[in-house]
Amino acid sequence: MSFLHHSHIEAIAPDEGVLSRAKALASPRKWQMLAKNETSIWGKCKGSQTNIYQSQASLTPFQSSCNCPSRLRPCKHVVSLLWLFVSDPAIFESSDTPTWVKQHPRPTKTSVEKQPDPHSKQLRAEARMNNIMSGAKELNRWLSDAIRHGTAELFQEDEDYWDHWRARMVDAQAPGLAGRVEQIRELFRREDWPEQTLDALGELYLLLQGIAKLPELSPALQAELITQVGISTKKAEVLVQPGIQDHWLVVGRTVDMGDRIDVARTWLYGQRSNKIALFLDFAVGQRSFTHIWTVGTNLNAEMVFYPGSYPMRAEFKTAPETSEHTAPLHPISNSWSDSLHGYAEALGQNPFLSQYPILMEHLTPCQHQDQWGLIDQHHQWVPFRNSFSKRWELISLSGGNPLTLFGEWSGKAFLPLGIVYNNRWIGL
Amino acid sequence: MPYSSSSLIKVAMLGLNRAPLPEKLGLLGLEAPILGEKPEARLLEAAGFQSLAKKAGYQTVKVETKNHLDQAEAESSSYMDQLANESLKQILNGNNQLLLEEFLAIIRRRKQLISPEHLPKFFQWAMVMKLDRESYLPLIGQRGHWLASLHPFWQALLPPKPESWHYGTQEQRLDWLRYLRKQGPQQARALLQAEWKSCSYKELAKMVEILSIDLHQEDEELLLELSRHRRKEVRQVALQLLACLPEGQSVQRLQTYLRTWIQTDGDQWTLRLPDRLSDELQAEGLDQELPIYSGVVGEKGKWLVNLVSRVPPSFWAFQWKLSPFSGLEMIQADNWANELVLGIAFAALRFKDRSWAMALVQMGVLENSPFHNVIPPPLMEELIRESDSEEFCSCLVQTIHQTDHAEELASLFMAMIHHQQQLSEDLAWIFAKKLAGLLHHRTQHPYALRAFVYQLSDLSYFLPAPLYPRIAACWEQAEETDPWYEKHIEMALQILEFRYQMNGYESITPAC
Repeated sequence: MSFLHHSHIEAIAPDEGVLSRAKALASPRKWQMLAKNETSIWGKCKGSQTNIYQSQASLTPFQSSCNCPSRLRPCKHVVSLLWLFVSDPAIFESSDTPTWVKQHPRPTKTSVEKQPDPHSKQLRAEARMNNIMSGAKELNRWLSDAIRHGTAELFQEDEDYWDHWRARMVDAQAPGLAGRVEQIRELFRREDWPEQTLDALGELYLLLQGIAKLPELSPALQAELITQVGISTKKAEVLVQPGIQDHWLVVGRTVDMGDRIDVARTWLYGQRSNKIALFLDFAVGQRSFTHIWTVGTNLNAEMVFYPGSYPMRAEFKTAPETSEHTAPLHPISNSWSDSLHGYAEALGQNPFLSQYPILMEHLTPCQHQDQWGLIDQHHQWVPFRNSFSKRWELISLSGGNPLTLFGEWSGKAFLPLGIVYNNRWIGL
Repeated sequence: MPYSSSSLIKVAMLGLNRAPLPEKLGLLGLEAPILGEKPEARLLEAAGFQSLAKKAGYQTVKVETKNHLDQAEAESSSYMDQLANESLKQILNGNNQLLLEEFLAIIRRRKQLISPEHLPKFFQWAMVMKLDRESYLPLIGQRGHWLASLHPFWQALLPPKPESWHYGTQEQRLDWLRYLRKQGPQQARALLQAEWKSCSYKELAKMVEILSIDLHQEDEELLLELSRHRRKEVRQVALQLLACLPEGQSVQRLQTYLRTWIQTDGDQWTLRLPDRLSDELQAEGLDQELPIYSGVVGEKGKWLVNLVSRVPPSFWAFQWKLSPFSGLEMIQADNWANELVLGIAFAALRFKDRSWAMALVQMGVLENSPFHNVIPPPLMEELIRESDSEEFCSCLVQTIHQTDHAEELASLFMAMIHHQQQLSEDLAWIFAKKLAGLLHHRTQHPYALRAFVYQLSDLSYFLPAPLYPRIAACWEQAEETDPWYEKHIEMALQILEFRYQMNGYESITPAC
C-alpha cells in the first residue's frame, strides 16, 4: 500500500454521514478479522443483527467492494477499513488472499482481448462525425433563429424546450454541444443574463463555425475542437506518446457534481518542468473516483498530455508514487498582470479555454465595493468567483497576510483551490 | 460609429426582427468578410469576438492602500493540537454538535485557541446556538476577533461597543447593559439610574431583569424607585428582584406580613389568611400569577405561595428553631401544607438555600404534593442542583449497591443528570457494572430498562474519561441479540469514544 493520509480517506468518502459512521466503526473490536497482502486490505465487520459484511480495498489503483446493502459507494465499511489501516497498519495481519477477496483486474488491458476491426472502426468514426456535423448545423440554425427573435424570448422558454435541444445534441453524439446548451440555460438564471447569454451564444457560434471549417484548421486546433464537441481521445492513444517524468504536486482539486456524472478536476504542478497538468477523474453511478489525492500530495510519475491547441489535460503513464511534499515551490507569477497576460496568450491558442490555472504568490484577500477578491503586491484586485464558498476560511487563514495560492481563472473571476499555510499546501 | 457592447446586448435581447443591427461593427477592426454576410451571423460573430476580447483584455482594479485589510495581531497562546482539531471538525460538520459547549470548556482549560481554518464554521454555530461570549471569547484569539470584525453578522459575537447604547437597536442596547453588568454591576446600575426615564416600559422591563445578574443590596434603592413605576410590567420585575434581597426592606416587610398570618399557641401554629388582599399587599405583588398552571391553586393559595416564596426559608427555622426536615414535617400537618411546600421550594431556589433544597428533595414532599404534575421541571432540577453534593452522592452509592431494578437505577441516573456533577471513578464503575448486569438479565421491568438505555448516550458526560475503556469493554460483554438494544448501546459507545478523544486520549482500546 502506498503512502496514505486520513485526509485521503476523507476525500473518497461519498459524504460526511458515511465518513462519520465509518469513523465510529474504525475500532478493531468492531471487526472480526483484518488482513492484508501486498496490494489489498480486507476485513469482516459485524453488522446489525447477525450479518457479517466482507469488505476489501486496494489502492493501486483504488478499488473497493463490500457485500453490504448500502447504495453509497464506497460504503462505511470500506471507508472504515481504510481509516483503520491508516491509523495503525500493524493491526492488519499479513495473510493469504481468501477466495471472497476479488482480484481486481489490472488497469492495463491484456493482449487476449478481442481487437476491433480497423475498417469498421473507421466507418463508425466517420458515421459519428457526420452525425455531429448534422447536429452542429441544426444548432447553428437554432442560434440564428434565437438571435432573430431575441434572447428575451429565449428567457421565457420552459424546461421542455431546453431539454429538447440538449437531447438533440446528445442524439447527435455531441455531448460537448449538449453541455453548452445546458450552460446557456443556466445563464438565464443569473441577474446579468442579457450580457452573459450573448457572450455564450457568440462563443458557441464561433465554435460551430470552427467545426464547419474543421479540415482547414491546424491539427492542434482540430483536436481541440473535437474535444470541445465531446469526442475524447482514447486514453490508450495518449499513453503511447512520450511523457514528462516529474514530481507532480497536487495544488488544487475541485469536483463538479452532475446529474449522472461527477467530474473531479485535479491540478498538478510539475516541480522540475514548471508545467501544470489537469487530471480528470469521473464518478458514474456506483463507481467512485479512481484516485484519492488531496491537495499537498506529491506524485512521482510520468504524465502524458492529451493533444490540443493549449494542452493541459494529462494522464499518468506510470503508476504514481506518493510522498510528502517538502521542497519549496516557486510560483509561476507574482502579479495579476503577468498571470492574465499568460491567460490572454493561452486564449490566443485556445479560444475555448474555460479554466486557466494560476499559481501566484503575494496575494491578499481584500474587499472592493462589497465584493471579496484578491490583491497582488501592486494593489491590483480581481474578484472571487461567485461560487467560491470558502472565502471566509481563506480570509481567516490569511489573517490579512499575503499568501501563495493556486486557483482557476475563468476570464472574469478567480476560484482559489489551494493555498500554502504553515509551509504546507492545503485544499480549499 | 463606434461599437458599443450595450447596443449589441440591446439588439440581441429584442431580436433582429425588431431591432436592426448597427451598420458598422468596428470591433477589433474586424469587418466583412471575416464577419458573416447575414445580420444574424454578424451579430453572433461580433458577440463571440467581444466575449473573447473581454476575457483576454480583462482589466484588474487598483485598490487604494487605505482600503486594504489590516493584519491580525500575533497570538500569545498556541492553537489546538491535531486531535482537538479533528474533534472540532467533526462537531462543526454536524456530528455530535451538542457536545460543542463541552468541547469549548476542555479547550478553555487547556488555554488553547481555535485554529483559524475552523473559525468561520465555528462562528456560524456560535450564532445558531447563541453561545455565551464567556464560553468562546478566550478561545478565538486575535485572529478570531479580527475575522469576526470583518463580517456583518459575526460582529455581534464580539463584546458590544459603548456606542450601541446610543445608536443600537433594542437588542443591542440590552446586550450592552448585560455586558456592562457582568463587567461591573455598579456601572450598569449607574447607567440605568441615569437613563431609565427615557426608556419605553417594554424595554425598561427587560433592562430591569438584567439586574438579576449579580444582584446586590446596593440595587435596592433603584429597584424601589422602579417598583413604583406607572407600568405594571416594570413594577413586577422590580418587585421580584426586591424579594431576592434577604436584607432588603421588601423582604423584611413580607416577613412581618407572614407573621401576622400565623397564629401561635405555644409550639403549635395555625395559618389564617385574610379574606381580601389589602392595597399594601397588592402593591407588594402578592396577587401575581404563579409560574405554574394556576388552576390547581386557589386565589388565597396564590397569595400564600407568593408571600412564602419571597421570604427566606431560614425564616421558618429562625422563628421556631427547627431544622429544615422537622420544619417541613410541621408544615405538612397544616391545612395549607401544599401551598406552603410549593412556596418554600420557590424560596429555596430564590435565596439559594441548600439545606432546605436538600430536605425538599430527600423527603420527596414535592413529588407527593398534588401539584407535582404542574411543577415546572426546572424547579426540581434546580432544587437537586442546589442540594448538598457530597451527601447526595453518598446516598447514591448506597442505593446503587442495594438496587437490582432497572426502574430504580434509571431514576438514580436521572437524579445524576439533574445533579450535573461528574461522578467519582468508584461510583461510575459501580454504576456501569450494575447496568451491564441489568442488561444481561433484562427480564424484569423491560419498559424502565428501555427508557434508561434510550438515554444512555447522555450518561457518558457524568463518567470520568479515564474509565471509558473499562466501561466500553464491560458494556460490550453483555451479548446482544436484540437490534434495538444493540443500536442504542452502540450509539452510547460511539459518543463515549468521541468524548474520550475529545478529552485528549487517542482511542478506546479493549481493556478486557
